Amino acid sequence: MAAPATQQIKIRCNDEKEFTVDRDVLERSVLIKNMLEDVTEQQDAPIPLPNVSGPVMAKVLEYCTHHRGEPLPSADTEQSQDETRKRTTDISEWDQKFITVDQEMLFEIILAANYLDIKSLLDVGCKTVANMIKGKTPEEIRKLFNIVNDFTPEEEAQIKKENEWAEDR
Amino acid sequence: MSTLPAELIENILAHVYGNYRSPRKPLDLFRCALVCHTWRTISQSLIFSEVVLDYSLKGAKAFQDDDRSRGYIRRVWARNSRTALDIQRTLKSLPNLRELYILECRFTPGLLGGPDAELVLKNLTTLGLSGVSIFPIQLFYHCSSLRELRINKCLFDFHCTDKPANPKPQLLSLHITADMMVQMRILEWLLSPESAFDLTTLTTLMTSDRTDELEAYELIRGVVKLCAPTLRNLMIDPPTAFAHGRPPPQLMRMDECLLYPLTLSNLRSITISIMQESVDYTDYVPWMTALFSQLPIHTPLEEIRIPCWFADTANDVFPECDVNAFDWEALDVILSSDQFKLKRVVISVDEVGSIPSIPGRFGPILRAAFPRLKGKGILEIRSSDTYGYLSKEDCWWLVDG
Repeated sequence: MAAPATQQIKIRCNDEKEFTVDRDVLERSVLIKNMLEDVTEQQDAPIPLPNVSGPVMAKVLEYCTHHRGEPLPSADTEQSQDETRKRTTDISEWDQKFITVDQEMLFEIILAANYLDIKSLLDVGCKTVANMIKGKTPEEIRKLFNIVNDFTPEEEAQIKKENEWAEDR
Repeated sequence: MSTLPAELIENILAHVYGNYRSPRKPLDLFRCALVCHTWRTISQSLIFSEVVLDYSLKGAKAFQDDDRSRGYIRRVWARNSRTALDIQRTLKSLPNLRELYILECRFTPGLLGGPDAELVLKNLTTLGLSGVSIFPIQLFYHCSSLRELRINKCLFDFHCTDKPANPKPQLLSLHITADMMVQMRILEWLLSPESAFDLTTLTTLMTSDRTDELEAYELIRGVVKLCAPTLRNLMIDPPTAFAHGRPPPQLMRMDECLLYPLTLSNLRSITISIMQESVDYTDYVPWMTALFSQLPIHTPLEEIRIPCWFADTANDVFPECDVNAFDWEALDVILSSDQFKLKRVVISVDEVGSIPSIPGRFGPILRAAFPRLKGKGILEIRSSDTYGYLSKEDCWWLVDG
């Protein structure tokens, strides 16, 4: 006997690009999972995702498809576990290859993961940026991310003085 | 980067702040503080959100001179203070303190009192006490925002003139790992009308010391009975009467040893905390089987944690625990049940005493557990020195599996 067909769900991005995806893949997103649970009747209309573009969604779906079936983090995750997760900057080999994208796409993926509530993808994105920051000087960080230095020379000198003890370690 | 909201920048900088494999090094964060104003605020709030005050070290209170840093501090670990007066002086200057852990401290009557201290206690959401003597129970009456209480090896002064608030603050999490007599006394108080806290909405209950005495077990059952509908995470010793297959000492009928399973409809995780001398784990099978089989059909139980204690072979108090003594039978019962959607089964390997590192010691556990868990969840073998106990062959076996 053939296995029951997986339910397919349609989604529509902010550039009108549509995807038809297996439900279990889409349910990696807590946002979409909750939306689907709230809908009792079968709907043919695509789910609108006004904060995600087609190219970014394609990347997100690539991630969700690769990680389908893996346990989702429990809502009861203890704070301590959550903190351990934050302090770990290791990224698996597949995730590293997946997230090797240009900076604009990297930040778009982080924003999409945050909006769609996909914790593991958000972690991969944030860890990648964190690894880019580590070991760099403030000037190098500004240059890397195109951030304007809005400190006055006096403020900068004051902060440097406050931080002297850390530089000694 | 400028397109990211502050909450996501905070998430990124939290990852910058140290790694679990190495001590936290704030240097990178101090450099981030020099990038721009937004990054400065986020970096400093991360650096100073948690402070360890070790009163045995000089300069432990140096931060008190820095007004801005004090405002960021939300969590303090105060240890090795000679008296509660040290702690009182420190806490007075921390307006946003929410979590306080006091370790190794001697209280003197009346010291953690007065309007300043009362204000600090009023704002606390978490209070942890470990190695504290003698903590005046009356101070709990000021903890009107408390949600989490952790007690480990403390002595209490139960003399009290105040009355509990009405309504009482509702605790969400209670951890008690004091020795049995203290555990009994504090549980008695928590269950009494004089208790400062309402336990009916507990979501986490952790008790882990031995409950040799039926009275001690009854008190834990009393707490479970109160909070069963909301309880999500439970850690408990099985009743000792089932150890060694020996006959129950008192009124140990099975229904009197269970934990109101029919009302535990929200249980997400359970940790069976067994640490008995000369224990044969299989003796707990009837208790565990009865408990699990009576949980409601829709109980969202996702995680079971079962400890596997190893003992120092040089120490006669705890005999060596080998793989054959582990509770595989109970594990099989749980895993073969379709009743629960288990996502994680955690076999927690810990040590009792100082065990010399013997390569391959955990190998049999690994090899016995892994096939059982396939497709059912995740096996975590945790130990302070796991790598020292797995042989190269075991590691390759795991990789191949």
